[in-house]
Amino acid sequence: MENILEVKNLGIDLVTRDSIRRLIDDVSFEVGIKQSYGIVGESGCGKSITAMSIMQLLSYPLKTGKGEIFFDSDAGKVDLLSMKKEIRKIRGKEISMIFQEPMTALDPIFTIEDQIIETLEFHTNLNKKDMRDLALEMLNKVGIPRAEQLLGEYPHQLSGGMLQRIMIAIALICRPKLLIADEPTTALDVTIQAQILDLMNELKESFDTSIIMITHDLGVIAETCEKVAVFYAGQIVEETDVVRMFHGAAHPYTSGLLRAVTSLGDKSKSLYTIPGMVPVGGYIPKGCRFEDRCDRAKKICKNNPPELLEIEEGHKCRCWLYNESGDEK
Amino acid sequence: MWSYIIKRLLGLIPVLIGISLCIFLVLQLIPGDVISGLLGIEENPELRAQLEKKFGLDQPLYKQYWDWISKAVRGNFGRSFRTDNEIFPEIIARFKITAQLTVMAAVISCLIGIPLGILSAIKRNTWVDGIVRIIALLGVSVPNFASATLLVLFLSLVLNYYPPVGYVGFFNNASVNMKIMILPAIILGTSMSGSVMRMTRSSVLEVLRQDFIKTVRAKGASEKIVIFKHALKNGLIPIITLIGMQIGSLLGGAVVAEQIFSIPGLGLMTLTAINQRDYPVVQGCVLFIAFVYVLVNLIVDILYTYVDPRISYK
Amino acid sequence: MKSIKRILKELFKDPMGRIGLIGVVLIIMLSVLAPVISTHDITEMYTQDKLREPCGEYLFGTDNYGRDVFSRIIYGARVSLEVGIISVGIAAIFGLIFGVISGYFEGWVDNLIMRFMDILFAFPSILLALFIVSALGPSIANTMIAIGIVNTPVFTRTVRASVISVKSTEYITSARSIGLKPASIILKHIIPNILSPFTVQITLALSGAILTEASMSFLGLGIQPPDPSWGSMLNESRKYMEIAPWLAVFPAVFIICTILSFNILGDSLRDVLDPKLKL
Repeated sequence: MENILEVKNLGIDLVTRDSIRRLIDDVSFEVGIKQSYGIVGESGCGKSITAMSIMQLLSYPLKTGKGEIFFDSDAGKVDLLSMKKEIRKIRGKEISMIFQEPMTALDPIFTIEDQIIETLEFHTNLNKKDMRDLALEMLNKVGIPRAEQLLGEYPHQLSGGMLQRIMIAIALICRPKLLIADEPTTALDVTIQAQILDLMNELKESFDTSIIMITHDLGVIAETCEKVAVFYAGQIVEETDVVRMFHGAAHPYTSGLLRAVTSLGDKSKSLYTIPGMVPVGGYIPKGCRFEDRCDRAKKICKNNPPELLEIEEGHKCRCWLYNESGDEK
Repeated sequence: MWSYIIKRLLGLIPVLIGISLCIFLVLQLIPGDVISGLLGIEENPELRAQLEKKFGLDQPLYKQYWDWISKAVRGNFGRSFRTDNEIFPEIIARFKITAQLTVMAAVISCLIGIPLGILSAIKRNTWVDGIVRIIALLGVSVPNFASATLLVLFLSLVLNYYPPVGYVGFFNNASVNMKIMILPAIILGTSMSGSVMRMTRSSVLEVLRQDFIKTVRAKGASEKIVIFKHALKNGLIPIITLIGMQIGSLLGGAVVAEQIFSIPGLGLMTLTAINQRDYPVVQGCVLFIAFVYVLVNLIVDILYTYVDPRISYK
Repeated sequence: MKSIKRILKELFKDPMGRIGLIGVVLIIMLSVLAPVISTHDITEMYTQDKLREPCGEYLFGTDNYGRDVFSRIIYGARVSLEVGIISVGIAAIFGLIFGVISGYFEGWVDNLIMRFMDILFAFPSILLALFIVSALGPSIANTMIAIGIVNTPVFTRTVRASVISVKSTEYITSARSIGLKPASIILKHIIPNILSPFTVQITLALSGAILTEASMSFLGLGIQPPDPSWGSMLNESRKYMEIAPWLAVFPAVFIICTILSFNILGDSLRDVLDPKLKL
């Protein structure tokens, strides 16, 4: 397996007592070894639940409805979705995750030491002293001063930036092959954001970890990722390498996103916004999901859903503009 | 920590003064005077004056209160109208019995309530959850005296079992004592367990919805660790509060169970005194019970610090 | 708060709510229609029919005086409800007044009221009720007063907490800034907004009050004979338990069902009125 992770035809459902609604539809992507893979999209587009589903962390009422997620584990290629209890051996050891809100992501009533060491307790046979040493070493690596003293403190005594560093330390302590970062900088101050991203880039090199970076912030993508998937309303609408996304985006939605960002620095233009809203409340349009907000929509877009096609090597796009069969209709 | 405890203890003083004032004033509401009750039909002015003097009833109200309270803080609750015995030692002796009953009931209620509450939370919205919730509802709704009467009825009619009659102290004969105490403890414990179940269920569910549970799962924790180490410990505060309140109210309010099973505890002592219009005893018992209740609540507050590091009392 | 019609509709959608509602309605009907439903006079002693087993003539049998248990239970429902409603009414009115004053004006008034409530809270509720009744003398009216006093602190706290949370919302700030008087702010804006927790509290307190009355009567310090009360009936039954178990079973079943209905209704009502609390 040349990729660390292969997501195939993933579907995620919202299951309530009397209905099933598909939130994520037919998502497929691959993350290469030591690659940084970005997933970008507006809130509600399904990027976070996609990340959660990789480690089977979805909870009621969300459920994976179909698909496979192959992972190149120590024990060979496995399908994470079909795993039962064994997935616990993967979680925290081979795949780790950090979350958006560092202030609430740690248990408030255990010390930092307890919470770093907990991961080691699950996955290693080290004794208490070795665990503590390892925890200290990790805290130093994530750039925390006075680590010794901090081990005995509780989450509410620390700042958000500090806690996110600790989250990173917890996530990397077992040297996982894949790190999933779900909006790791969103809840932080701008200056801290940059520090955390630098730290992640640095650690990625020294730990040889692949990263899936989930964000709504194109700046984060530009700074950390090699390959990007753009999510819209539960689907991937464009996937390409980061350079091509910023300089040759194909999908009208991606270009819209880019225009909304780039117009910020330019005072002569007013802020660009994509008109309309993400489809909500379970309503899924018959044709292209972006059709009613798209300024380049054609007749065909209304009633026929486009497919995700490779429009050039390493560049996929879900749009009738790049589909020859669409031109004929 | 110690300074916090001392501060809280000092804070109790005005509350206790208020409580004692209330007790004192409420007893002044009694229609007719107490001495007539004691004298019965025989009206003897000489004896009346003698009794009034003995119990200080000839003094003005504020003096009566001061007299009572200044002795009470030194553990002197006066003497009973009826038996002329010292009240305080009697209260302590009876309190020990009630305390034993309360501890047994609390243990039973935790042993039933907490595991079933957790089970109900884990199996939320399944038939298991449904059954546990019905049991909890019954526990909350069935009055002690009804369940006690039905239990005694069932034991005697169906199983032909009669609990030993006449109270025996634990240190005199532990096995007979347990046989006497176990039935009221079961009755009180099961009815307490209903609310413990409900509280455990809702507070565990509340914790399970929080973000950090995802982190714990993402680290590779088993469900056992998630539930017992993280969810339960985080959800403990409301459960402790509830159990503390229940213990507090049982320490004086186990009247019904004590009456049905003839356990000579503090509640029964109070009830008997009320029925006999033995007011110094009523006054003393009620003051003591309120004091214990307030103290138990203080202990619960202090326990919080051990459970939740976010609450600091500096 | 939602309209009453909507609340009832939502209650009926929930199976538990349906059970609670039906139970409560049945008990209310029993007590209202007591003169029609009961088959005998409740104080009449049929001396030749003492301790009769349940039969066609005496549906639930007769007691040791030869009184008809069925009729006494039906009238017992009336007594229970009367005591429950009036005592909760007392507690609710005083709780509302104290709670609103305390929560709205804060400061020393708040301190005074809340310290007083703390004092009332410092007694186990059954003990406080017994204590008050022992001073006032046992009677149905004093039972109501005692239970009313016991329940007042809970209402005061509930109301105060909701008033404080409503008060800090922006629409109250704006009502103040346009110069509305406290009285009209309280009546027009605060009271309607605390009705939900208040209603839920009333239903739950009703079951508690009925329970306290039954316990007090059981101990002989509540409703006095010859007035029928489920609690005292149950207490008297204990002497004849082995020869006449029906004397214990029927009152016990009625008390349990009544309290159960009110609790179930209170729970569902809370889910309907305050969905935040639903888990």
